[in-house]
Amino acid sequence: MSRRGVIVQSGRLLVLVALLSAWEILPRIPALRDHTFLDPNFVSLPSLVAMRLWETTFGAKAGYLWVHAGASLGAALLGFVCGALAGFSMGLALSQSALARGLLKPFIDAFSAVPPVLLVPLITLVFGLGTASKIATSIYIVFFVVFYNSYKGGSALPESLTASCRLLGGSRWAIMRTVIVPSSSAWAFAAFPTAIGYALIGVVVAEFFGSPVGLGSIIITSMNTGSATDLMVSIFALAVMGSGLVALMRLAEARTLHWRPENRAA
Amino acid sequence: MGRRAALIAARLALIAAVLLIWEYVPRIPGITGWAPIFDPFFISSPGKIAAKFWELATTSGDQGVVLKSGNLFVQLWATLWATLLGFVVGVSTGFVAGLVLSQTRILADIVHPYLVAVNALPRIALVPLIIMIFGTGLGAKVMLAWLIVFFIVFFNTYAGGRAIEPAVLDACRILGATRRQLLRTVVIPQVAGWTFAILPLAMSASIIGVVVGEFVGGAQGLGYIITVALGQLEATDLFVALLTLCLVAVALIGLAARLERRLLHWRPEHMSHEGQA
Repeated sequence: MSRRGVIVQSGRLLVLVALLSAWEILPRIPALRDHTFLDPNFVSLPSLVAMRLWETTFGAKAGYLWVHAGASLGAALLGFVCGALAGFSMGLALSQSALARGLLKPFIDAFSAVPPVLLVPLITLVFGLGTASKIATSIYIVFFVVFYNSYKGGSALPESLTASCRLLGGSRWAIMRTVIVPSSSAWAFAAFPTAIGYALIGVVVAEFFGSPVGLGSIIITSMNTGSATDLMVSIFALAVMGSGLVALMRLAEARTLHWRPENRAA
Repeated sequence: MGRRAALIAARLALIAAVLLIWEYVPRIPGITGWAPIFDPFFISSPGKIAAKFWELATTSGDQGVVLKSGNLFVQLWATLWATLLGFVVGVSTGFVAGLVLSQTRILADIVHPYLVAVNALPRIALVPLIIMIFGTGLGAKVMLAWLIVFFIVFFNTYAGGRAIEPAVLDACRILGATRRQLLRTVVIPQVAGWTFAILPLAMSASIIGVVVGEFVGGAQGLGYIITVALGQLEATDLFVALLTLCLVAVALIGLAARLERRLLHWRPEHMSHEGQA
């Protein structure tokens, strides 16, 4: 390893150790605990978080975290599938039909201008506090992300390509099936990692509004009961789940779209 | 032109159809029995929402359970002020941090894995943590907005700082530019371009941070009014507050987009815009 490499690696380790020990030690100093926010009741301690994490996954209260994580994950995934299907078909339709585009695109643009998280209370009002609200939130968020990419994919085809296909005798249906849909779906796929990440966040925000089960629900419960350790554990679980989902989606994208130039090189 | 007029007429007809369905379908007797979504208790009605807006604008009494006139503006102001403060603080700190880190390679290499980890963290989920630690006042709300805005701005600025063509820097150095001159005339303008480009997204992030904070632990603001209306199942109040919030959000994001165009008018992609106007 080069000299520079050694400096970088030891620097990284040092930062990690410094952060963790500062978090573990500072809240134990009485002066800081009493006068600043560095109070174990607010920020917990890394050792407590690690212990609680073990306890709620494999230890004494095994299964507790799984149930909540599973509920959020299920809602996010179901919403993702429905939202992606709806967004893809709508994007494809609007890219192909000038009439549909002229009629509907301004409304979709108007709705997409509002950050979707703001609409969660309305969704909760209409669909209640249960799973339906979470799935609806996830569908709503995923729809827009996938819609815009599929729409772009459907309209970004060079005219010369479709023209040559027509010249070679391709029917409208054949061109649709072999040229337009593959191109549009490649673009839609590119939106999936972003979409699934947003969907999970949307589900968690929906759970903030009094859902009985899910990571968002234990986050709010821990906030209200002032349990910093539980709060940290649920945020950690959410971060791991989110990164895992996004990474999986990237992998799936590279697998499915292996014929695309950017994946071929790898 | 006839085609265009027909299209606009069709759009208006679509809006009218949705409003008419929203207003009149719930009045069909027995409909809520098999389609509970049409219960005006949950979805209110366009007429009631318009009446409520009118009432808020013209009277000063306290007719509403949740929304009183005057009150809407107080709450709106609370949200707006926190959003703008969070935006300004988040953009400026994100810019400075991104600039410094992009110019110090060794530091950037050391903190890189942590940046990736922080970036993967769902920051909206940190909202309850911040509220638990810092409460629900203006400071806490600004901090929530900052938390989300900072990273968005930081990552874009950092990428901009890393994307400067080395040949350009070398050429300037050969021409005798000092480090300071290089920073002032090449690096900062280039990096600022990347920062300005992210302003609309940063504004949207600031709104999200503040409003989710108000949803979760609010004591003031439009987000708080919305949760109160939700808790008391006052659909009309919820729609009024939500519409106000959405309009303000769209206006703020549009303003940030204009700011971006203004600041980046020298860029090729914006120059053509100016030419057409």
